[in-house]
Amino acid sequence: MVEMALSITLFVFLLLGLVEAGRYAFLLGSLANAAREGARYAVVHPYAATSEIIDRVRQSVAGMNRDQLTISVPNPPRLPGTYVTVAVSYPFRSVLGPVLSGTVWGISTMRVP
Amino acid sequence: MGRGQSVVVVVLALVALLAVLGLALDGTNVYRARRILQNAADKGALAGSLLIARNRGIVEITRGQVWGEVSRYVRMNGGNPDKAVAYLVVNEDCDGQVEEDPTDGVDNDGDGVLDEDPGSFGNPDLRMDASNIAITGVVPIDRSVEGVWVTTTGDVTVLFGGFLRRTSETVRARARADIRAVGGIPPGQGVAPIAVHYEVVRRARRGDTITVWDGYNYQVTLTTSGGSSTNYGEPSNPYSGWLNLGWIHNAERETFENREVDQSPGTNELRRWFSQGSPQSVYAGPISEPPNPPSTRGDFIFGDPGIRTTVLHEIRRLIGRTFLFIVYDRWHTRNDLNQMFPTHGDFPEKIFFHAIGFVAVTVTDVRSGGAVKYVRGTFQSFTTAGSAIPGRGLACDDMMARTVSLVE
Repeated sequence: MVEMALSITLFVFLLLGLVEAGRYAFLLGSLANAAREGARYAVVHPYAATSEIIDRVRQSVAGMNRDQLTISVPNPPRLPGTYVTVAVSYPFRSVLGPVLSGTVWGISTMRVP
Repeated sequence: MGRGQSVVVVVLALVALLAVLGLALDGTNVYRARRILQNAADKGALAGSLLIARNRGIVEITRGQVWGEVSRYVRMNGGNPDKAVAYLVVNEDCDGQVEEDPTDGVDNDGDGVLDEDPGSFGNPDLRMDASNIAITGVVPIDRSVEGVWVTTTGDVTVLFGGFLRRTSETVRARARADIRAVGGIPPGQGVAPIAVHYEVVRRARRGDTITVWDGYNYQVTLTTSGGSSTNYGEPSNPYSGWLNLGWIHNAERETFENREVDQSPGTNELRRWFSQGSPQSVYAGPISEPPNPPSTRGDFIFGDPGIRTTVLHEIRRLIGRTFLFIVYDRWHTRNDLNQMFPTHGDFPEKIFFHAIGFVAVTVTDVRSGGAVKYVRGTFQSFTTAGSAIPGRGLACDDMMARTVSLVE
């Protein structure tokens, strides 16, 4: 019985760890995609306002609270030959506590043609 | 815990684990597919537009050839041409007037009407796909075509989407590449320090001859391939200029490449610029026609009317070479610029040519002695890498040096 209780506890922690790893991987992919969408929009619209690019990034994320996104975008005009870096971050709070929590980043850099 | 109860816990836990793992894997797969399709759409649109840009005004090409190029690049970049659709971007305002940027609300040509964005997406008459191209492929591409839209679609199998009763997810990507007057040329890329008024370029066609005179009332003569000639310019309104590229003002790039410094170039430097291309980048701004106020974007390059005699000798050695002449819409005095840029310090005592694009000219003849001198050349078609910014150049123009780049 004691062995079962111990092994179940361990098992549940392992299980939650795997679930959280999956959630982390999903956030990572979603933020990378959103940053890429934002950077692409910024380089094909060099005079677009920063707010337009931020909206584009917000629309591109899924499965997270958009109000908690932090988005960094360079201001226009984005001159030909220069590089545009869009960075998106989101707080990852694990159910396993602060040890496995942190900030997830998605960063994309593209060159203005 | 009773016998067999742990099995229930393990099964429930495994279901939860598989669901979250599935979400991560399927999400990653969908994003990956989306990225590949976007890449395929981007490359297809760029390839189609580039084919049009390189041939427009030179040889006739058809929709079939454009679709062939689009589908080839879609396939090479991981997309499926059978699930791709392309639309031609058509500018129905091919009136030879200046191009307008539909997003900035500025009436560049002063005709009281804002040109609309030549979207054309979804127009069945402009559609190209694997099924209709057998019929529409023979339709020629005309001057009004200014770009290509491409959409690509793909189905991604979602392994764990079964929880939501979905076996596949449809992913779409869309891109548009436009052909426009090139916005900037980097150093050493063949820009010659000669400016020509855009009225001359507006009326020119490939193969026409341009003669830039010195000591002849600052005139420029355009001779068509049919032999008829037209003169432009007068002493009070020069239609050509010799540019001292040592001092360039650009409100968006004041400190860029240290261009806004009087470098007092000597004759040898001017010669070198001619033989090796401008040592500075040159950036075009939007055209502005009276009665509109002059544009404040783009390069203002100081120079003199006409063409400098001292280097005509140098050009004689370079007959047969193709140069990019700078196209300008207006020239300004120091007082003009002081008013246009009131927060800038005082400008030097010169006249400033406002660059709005480039035109490729192959030099065929030079006369560097006597009272009347000139450089003569033939207009060429020229496409290069660069940025396609709306509002630059002339609508549906074949002569201004052009570029292709993604705009959507």
